[in-house]
Amino acid sequence: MNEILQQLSLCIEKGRVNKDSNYPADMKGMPGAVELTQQALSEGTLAQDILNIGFLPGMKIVGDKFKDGKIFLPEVLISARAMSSAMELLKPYFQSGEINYKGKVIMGTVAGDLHDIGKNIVKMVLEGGGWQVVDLGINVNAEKIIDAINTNSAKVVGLSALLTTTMQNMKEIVRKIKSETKDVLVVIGGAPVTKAFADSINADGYFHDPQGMLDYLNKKMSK
Amino acid sequence: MDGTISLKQSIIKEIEFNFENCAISENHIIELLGYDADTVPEPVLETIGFILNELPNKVRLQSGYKIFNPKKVKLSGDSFTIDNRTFNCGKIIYSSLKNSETIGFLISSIGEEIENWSKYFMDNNEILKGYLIDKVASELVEQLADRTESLLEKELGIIELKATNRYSPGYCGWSVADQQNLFSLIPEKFCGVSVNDNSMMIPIKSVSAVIGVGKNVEKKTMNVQFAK
Repeated sequence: MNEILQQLSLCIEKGRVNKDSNYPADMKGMPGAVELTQQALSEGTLAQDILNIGFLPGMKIVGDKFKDGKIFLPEVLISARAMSSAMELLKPYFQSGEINYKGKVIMGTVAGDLHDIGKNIVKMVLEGGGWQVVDLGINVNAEKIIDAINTNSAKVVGLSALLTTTMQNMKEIVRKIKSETKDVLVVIGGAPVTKAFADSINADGYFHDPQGMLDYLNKKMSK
Repeated sequence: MDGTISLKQSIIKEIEFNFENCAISENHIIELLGYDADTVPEPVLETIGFILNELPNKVRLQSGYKIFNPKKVKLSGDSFTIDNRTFNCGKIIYSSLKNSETIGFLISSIGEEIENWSKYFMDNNEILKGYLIDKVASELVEQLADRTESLLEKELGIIELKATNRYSPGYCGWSVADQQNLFSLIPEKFCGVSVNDNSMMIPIKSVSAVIGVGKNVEKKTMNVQFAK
């Protein structure tokens, strides 16, 4: 069983989706993440083990390589594609409660800002790390975020902004979240955002790369 | 302003460029992503090929500029004023513009359809495609602005004038909020571009910039550190 999960982990790391894929060249003809997940499930492996031992370590290796500058973002996205293709097979197990997410994260690009590429990439990395993301999209105000926190009983919010003008809207959103909810972590990111700015608006964290945010959340959860 | 410039009135021009003349190539994008031909992963290469094939149908290359009547322009104290609207461009940009006899605005846009194209893939779990389309779009609009800048320089050269580098609100210490001033001085939807209350240009893949114009201005070699 462990051998299948190790192979699965390798497929995700290398971005191998299925047996018909030509990528990567040195794995041509071999089963991909989809077939290995199917095989593991048919052999009775617990869905939670497939996630924890197969999926997450593969994505962790990729995330760490990206953080260390050893690979570029497209390679992270290639791995994420392999993982999300296989993840489709685990969806029923999430719905039935057989697999538990690490937690829920509410995400959105702040009011006035229409950029969403960065947010989408962070979302994908968090999902690849075992977190459930409730994506509120772009141009999101404090009320919508607070409503989502309450509806989903979420304890983490991720906010994104790409302009110095819209970055200022984070201040009011963070203030409202802090005053109207309890024990909710707010982390922020985006091109103009800095650690100093995050501190100045009382945000709990700032990360310039998605893996940084994932590591932070994993660490917080383990405490 | 000493009034020596040959321009007696404001000049405004809109141009639609052909995609065929764009210098965007597979190798260029590979390099932009940080790879070289030997290290680029196959799915990235395939996706670039797909994007370049479809790209001409997904963009509309609109550009334009406005050069102001020198009598309307005043430069002083790390800022410049046009028609009583003051632009606080900051020390870095002012030092480049200070010898200008007038100011020009440059607008370039590749349109909205490419954003929707990227978003379509993002929403359908094809993040690599969505991301690469966005990267290519950013590069394409910068190239369009470069071409427009070159064209402007050429036309200024005819009347023996030169241009500085172009500078955009939001860079080199200049607040992006000055987009409001900039767009108030050009016709509505010039080159199809507008600005929202948060000073964000729509379509997103647009460039706005100012350029100093005069006999005694010069173009500097920019380094990345400086531009940030």
